[in-house]
Amino acid sequence: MQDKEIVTDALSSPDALSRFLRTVEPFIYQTAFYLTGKKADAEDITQESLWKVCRSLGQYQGQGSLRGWIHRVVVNTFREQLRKRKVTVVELDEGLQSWETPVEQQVEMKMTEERLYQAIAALPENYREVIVLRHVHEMSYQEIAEVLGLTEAQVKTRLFRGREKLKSLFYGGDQE
Amino acid sequence: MTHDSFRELIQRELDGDLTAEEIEHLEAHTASCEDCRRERDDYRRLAAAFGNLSKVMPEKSFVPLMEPELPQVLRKKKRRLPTFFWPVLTGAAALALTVGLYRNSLPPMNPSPSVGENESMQVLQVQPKTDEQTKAKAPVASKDREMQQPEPKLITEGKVKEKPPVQVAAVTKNELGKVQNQTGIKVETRKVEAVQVTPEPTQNGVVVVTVDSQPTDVKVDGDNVTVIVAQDRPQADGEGSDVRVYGIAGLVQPGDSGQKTITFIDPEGNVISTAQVDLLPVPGPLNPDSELNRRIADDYKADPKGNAWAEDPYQVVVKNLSGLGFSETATVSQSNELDHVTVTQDGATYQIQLKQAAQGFWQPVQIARLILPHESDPAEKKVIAYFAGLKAKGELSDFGDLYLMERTDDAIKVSAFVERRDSSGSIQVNRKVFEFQIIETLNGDIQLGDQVTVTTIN
Repeated sequence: MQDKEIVTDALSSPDALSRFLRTVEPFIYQTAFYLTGKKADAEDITQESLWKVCRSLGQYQGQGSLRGWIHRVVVNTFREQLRKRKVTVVELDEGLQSWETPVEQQVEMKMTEERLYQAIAALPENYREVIVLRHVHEMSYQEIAEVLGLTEAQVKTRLFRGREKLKSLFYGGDQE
Repeated sequence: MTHDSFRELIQRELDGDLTAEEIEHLEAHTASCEDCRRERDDYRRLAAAFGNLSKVMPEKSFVPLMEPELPQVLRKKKRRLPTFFWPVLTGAAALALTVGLYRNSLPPMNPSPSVGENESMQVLQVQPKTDEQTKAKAPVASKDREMQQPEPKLITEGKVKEKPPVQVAAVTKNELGKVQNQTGIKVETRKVEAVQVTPEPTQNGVVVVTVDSQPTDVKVDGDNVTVIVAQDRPQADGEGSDVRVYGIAGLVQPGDSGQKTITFIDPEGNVISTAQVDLLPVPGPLNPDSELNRRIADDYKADPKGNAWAEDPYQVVVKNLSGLGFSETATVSQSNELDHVTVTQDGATYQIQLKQAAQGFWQPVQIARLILPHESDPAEKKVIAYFAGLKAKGELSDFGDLYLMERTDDAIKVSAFVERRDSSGSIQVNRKVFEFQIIETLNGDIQLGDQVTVTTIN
């Protein structure tokens, strides 16, 4: 189904809207979690974003991707919460629910993961946004540009600098 | 190419952004340059680490909490909030905050002392607030399917030098003068001509004024409204206090009592203060199965002689003013039509339409509010203009009072007597119901849709 058809379907009945929201909720939460690094803040942002999405879904006219449109809502909610200082960005170390292989088999991977969480959490917000969209959600430059209201060139620049910073944080700051 | 150029290629490679030629170029370079080879490996490991991140999931889905509200969300499309002026005012003891509401949406204010001559009042900042900025907290799903949980909307805010004695106050929009009595802060209304605004942030609700705190959540349980108020971070001495004016709309639904008790609590559940407000009823249809209508039917059926008042529409309204959402001091009068009764309260005029049951008793089925030419919201103004246009074009000879029957975010239903000259030249007068779609344009203006559904009542 095309994005516009998905929206039309979602708006056809309360049940369809509920199904749609359940579908998008996990990746809204994922973005919120990586942006805030805190379970409670991620939940706040997820809930608020879900309300915004369901209330303004009718305004989505197929301009840009639906995924990008939803992420724009999440990023805007995150920025708004930051402005209100409701969100305190902390280390990404709580609220993880791994549905994957047991941890004991992946000690090294887990340590890498922890280091990556900490590195993401330590990034300035503007870098964190592009990094999360690119590497967690694997968005294209164009999609990221749509979400963040930037040009593709700006996205590339921000990604370049953000990744440099992330690499430095990830490898302990001795790589710069 | 320089090392910097290769660094760019190394990063773009992670995004799959390299051409075959660029990849070849990079391969050749890293084969001979150890620094760039190490950098490329580092970035590749970093990118791979993202692929191994655990899935993060919320512990529970929020969607079940939202489900009771979804039917209503589908009926009502959320619209942007007004672009208000945001005055920041300073002064000494008594300060003025200007509430940028439509003046015409506010009944006349209670007289209140004006700001003294010695007290400076200046607008420091004019900044439009968007919906995103004014929303204090996502609404919490309500148990009541008919009721969307209200949310506080920031209307305006300002800084005062001296901390007011009261942390929080709630009043109806026609009692703004009370705010000064309670907080020492004067809240005025101000007409914002240039801005098309809808919905009005205190529509069917209250004005809440907070000092160094903000409402984070609102819970409605019948006539009891609980507002959770969180304190701001403590400010250093001499920084003054932040005063904010919020609207909490939608506390009353059609058929609801307008008498609400607002309890302010802190996030730990301690009561800060309470306030009583008396809100005007909301126009809309009344459910035959509503508590009020069931009671009228049950009472009459149980004792027709003892409840003979139910056989008279006027008496039904007089006996049930509170149940209809009016104050007991509202004025009730009979209209020219047996099945319509007029009620006036706080400068607003309502018509209650009633319907007679087979057993002979009457039940209210509709509350409608008179649309006043100079006191209406943008959609109501457009409706007035629509009728004036029909009259100007000769499609109507004349039209009578316009009554708002129901208003949602995307539709408005109005009843009116219309006078039309038919082909034989004689004048026909009918009560008709007109239903308009409301369309919000990209710049926030309100327009009525081209499709108008007209139903002739009699």
